[in-house]
Amino acid sequence: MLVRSLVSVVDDDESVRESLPDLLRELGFAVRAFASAEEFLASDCVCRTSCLVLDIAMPGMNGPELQRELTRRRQEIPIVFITAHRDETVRPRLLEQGAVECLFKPFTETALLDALNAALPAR
Amino acid sequence: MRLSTRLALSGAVSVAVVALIGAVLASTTRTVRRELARNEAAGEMLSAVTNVRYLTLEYALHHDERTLVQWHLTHASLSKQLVARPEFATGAEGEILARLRRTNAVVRSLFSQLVANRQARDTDGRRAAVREELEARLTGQIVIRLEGIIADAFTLSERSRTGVLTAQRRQGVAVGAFGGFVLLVLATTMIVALKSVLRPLARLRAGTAIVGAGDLDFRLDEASGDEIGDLAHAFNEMTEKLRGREAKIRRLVDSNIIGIVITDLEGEVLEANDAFLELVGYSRLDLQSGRVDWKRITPAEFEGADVRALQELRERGAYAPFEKEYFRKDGRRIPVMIGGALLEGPPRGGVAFVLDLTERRVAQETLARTQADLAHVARVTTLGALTASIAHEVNQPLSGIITNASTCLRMLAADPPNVDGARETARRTIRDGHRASDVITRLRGLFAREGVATESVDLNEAAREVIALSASELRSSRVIVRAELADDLPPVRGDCVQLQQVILNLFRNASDAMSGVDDRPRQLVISTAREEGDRVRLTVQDAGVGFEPESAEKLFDPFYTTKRGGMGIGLSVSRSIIESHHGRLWAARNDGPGATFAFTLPRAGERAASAHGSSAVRAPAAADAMHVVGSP
Amino acid sequence: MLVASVLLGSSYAWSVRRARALDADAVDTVRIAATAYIGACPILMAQANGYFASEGVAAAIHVEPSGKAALEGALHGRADLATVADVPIMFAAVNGEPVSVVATIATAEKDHGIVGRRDRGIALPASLKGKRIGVPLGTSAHFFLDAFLNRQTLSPTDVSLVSVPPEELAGALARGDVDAVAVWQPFLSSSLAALGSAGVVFHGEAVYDVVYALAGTRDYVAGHSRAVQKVLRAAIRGARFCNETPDLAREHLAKLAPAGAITFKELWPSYRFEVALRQGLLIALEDETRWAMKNELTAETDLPNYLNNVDLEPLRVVAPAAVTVVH
Repeated sequence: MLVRSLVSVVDDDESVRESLPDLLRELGFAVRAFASAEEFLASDCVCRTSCLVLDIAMPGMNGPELQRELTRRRQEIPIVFITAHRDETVRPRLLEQGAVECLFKPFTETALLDALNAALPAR
Repeated sequence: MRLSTRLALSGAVSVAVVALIGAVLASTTRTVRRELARNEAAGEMLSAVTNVRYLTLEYALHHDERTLVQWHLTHASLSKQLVARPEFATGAEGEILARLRRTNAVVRSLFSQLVANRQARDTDGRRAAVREELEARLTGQIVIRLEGIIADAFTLSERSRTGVLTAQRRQGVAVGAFGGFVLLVLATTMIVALKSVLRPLARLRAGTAIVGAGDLDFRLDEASGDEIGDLAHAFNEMTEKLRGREAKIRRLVDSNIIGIVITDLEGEVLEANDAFLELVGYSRLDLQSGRVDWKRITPAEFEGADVRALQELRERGAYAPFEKEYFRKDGRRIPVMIGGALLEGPPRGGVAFVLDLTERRVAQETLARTQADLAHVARVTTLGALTASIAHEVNQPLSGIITNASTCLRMLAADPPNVDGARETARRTIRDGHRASDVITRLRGLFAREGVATESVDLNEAAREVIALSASELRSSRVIVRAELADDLPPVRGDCVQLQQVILNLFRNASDAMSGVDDRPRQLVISTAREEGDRVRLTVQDAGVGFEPESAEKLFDPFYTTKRGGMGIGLSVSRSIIESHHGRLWAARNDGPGATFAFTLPRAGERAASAHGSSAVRAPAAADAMHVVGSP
Repeated sequence: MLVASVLLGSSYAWSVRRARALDADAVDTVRIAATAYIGACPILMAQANGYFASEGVAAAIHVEPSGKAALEGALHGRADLATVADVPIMFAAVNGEPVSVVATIATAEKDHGIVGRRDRGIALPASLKGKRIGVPLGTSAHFFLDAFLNRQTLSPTDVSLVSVPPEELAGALARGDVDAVAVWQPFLSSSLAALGSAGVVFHGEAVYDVVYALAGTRDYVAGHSRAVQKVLRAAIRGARFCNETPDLAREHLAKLAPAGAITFKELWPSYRFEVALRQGLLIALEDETRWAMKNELTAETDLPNYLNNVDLEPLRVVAPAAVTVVH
């Protein structure tokens, strides 16, 4: 059996945690969902995660902060940011800081897939 | 020559002349007395010699003893008078007296011969004819000599009479001279007074009139080296000082730092400096022609203020500066500040300063515009924030819908199709769709009242609504709300929507601040109170994490907004809203844990009907909207 | 005020000048017969100093050898007025001439005297008794002698009078024809000079003072009162001049009578120049008249009323105080 890449979804929005993992599973990924960055960091998925789908605005540690924390921990996990705040200046900054992609909700399945493929070149 | 010297001199001269005349009078009086004495002496001589003559004739007639004795007595008396008299000591009179004495002696001798002859005739009858002739001859000679004596005595008397007359005439002349001198002194004094005093004084008076009329270049002639000259010099010095002072004032006026205008007590413009003329756009020629009319350049609505100002000027000597407008010559209005004070005369008038307030007005208008812009921006920001929130709110369900729909398609496309999974995704899709619809509905309700409406707002009501709105969210966040709303809180004027936004923002921040708090109750206290100075305060106190003292102002930085997620407006916008309501928003640390945010607003001038009815209607929808994107 | 006083003064001066002018308009012409005697000094000096002219009189003066001659001239129309001594006046009046005296102008105390030879025993006036005395009879010298002798209580019969003309008296005395002479100046001085220290002179005390007068006809004087007044005014000024400045007066007189000039200085003090009309004049004239009658020098036996021979009026107008004749 093929080992699926683990995609961790970190978003404080419940509906995202409901809908997105299903789609990702359909797309062939193993998915773990976390309600906060702290939950993710506290989990055992940090090392195993192949790609992180990360909400930007979260109470507590937000997306960029998690990114920085992971960098500090030398966990080079490709990150795809998702956000509902459509702010054009945010995306370039995040990409500069090493994010693979930043998607604005609502995003299409195709956009998501493209981003994941970019994050995980080997499948 | 100085007047005092002249007076002293004339005084001395007068004294000298008076002394001289006095001496003359004294001497003439002496002379008169002397002449009178001589006259008297001559009179005595005359009477004596008359007696002698009479007695001689009587003796010639009766030749008796008694007559003889009397003759001798009388003759002796005459002789005594003819002895050297001091009255007739000198000159011709001395000669006359000498002659008198000689003649007198001759008379005596003749009389002796007469007596002897008589006695001889009585005793000796011889030579009777000769003796008779002799007697006649002797008598005749005596009479002749006596006549001579009388003539001489008469001459003396005449001379003394002439002397008296002369002396009296001299006295008269002296008195006349004195009178003449007095007249002369009078005339001289008048001339001197006229020339040296009255005329120069008249010139001085004319000079004061000239200087008083304004010609400060006028100078008096100080050439005369006397007291009048000193006075002229003092006058010139004073004029010089006046000119200096006037020059200072003139420099101030001409410096054109500020418009200065001189008016009479009716407000008519008498003089103005260039700055003022420039201000009202009139030329100096206009001013001189009288075209700069106070009333004409003052708009009607300020006439009352002008009248009051003039009244105050007349009564109190000054009026407080006030703002008004002028019509410029080109018809434009120009805002000015004008203040003035009384100018002592004559004639009395006023001096006013006129300050161009155009720039200030422009600045004010700019400020107002900026404030409006700011409010607009705040609103826009709010709107922006709201839009972002809306987008966010809508995007969330939309994203869910798309994701779920995609998942559904994939599940159905699987082999075998995952129908249960698809069903679930479809269900979520519908749910999210409803959610999105709710968001729209809610938001529509939220935007039912657009724009800034200034009305009378009861903060207590607004607070209660916000509490209601955020009730479920706060409950789910386990935030305990305590409301301590003051009774009879005065209303404030402002936009209810915006103010509720602010209160909401403060609630959210308080809630956020307490999101990580577990060891103590998450208490949120909202209170309202009256404040001094007709202000109203609303306070939101939490028991959350608080903030560092140095961050107190940073909280209100616009950048800070991005850190807080969720719908709502940031503290920056809240502050600008409060400030546009003429209020103040600030943060303070609690003694214990947590922070207190408060704002004050000025109370409204009148009680207006509270206009919160409609917001009460939409409250429920708004309340739901508040909780859709709930953190934590 | 100044203007007013100037006007007043000038109008007054003008009126005075007018008044004077009125007087000055009429210039009276008067002919005076004078003598070169000291006694005529007032008249002579009045002429010499122009007093006549300034009083408005055109005076023509001619000098007569004697007063008697001068009076004759006046009485016969050859002159209007004359300077003449008392004795000629007396003779004229006694003889019925209409002589009128307007004033006496001078009196002389020592004009007459007696010069005697000591060697004839004449030492005192009383010693004239029984002597031969030369005298121009019928003249004032004769009158003087009469009075002198009377004063010594002598009568003319106590001496022998020899009639000698005045100019011969000095010679007669010197020759010894006479023991003494009685005469007037200057003959008196020359007589004394002829004797030198051998002579002695007596004047007597208050025996006879010669009175010089200014006289004219009664008609003339009465009819020319104004002219006479002017003449008198001038004479008064002349008399003052003669009293006060004798040197100048003597100088002038010397020009007129050089012969007697030497004696003038000596005699001058005994003269008294005065314009007057005295009671003494009448007394003197009466005294002289009695002598004249006594010596049968006149046919008249009644004493004339000499008031008729003086005209008091002119002098009363000019100098009222100078008129002491009882009137």
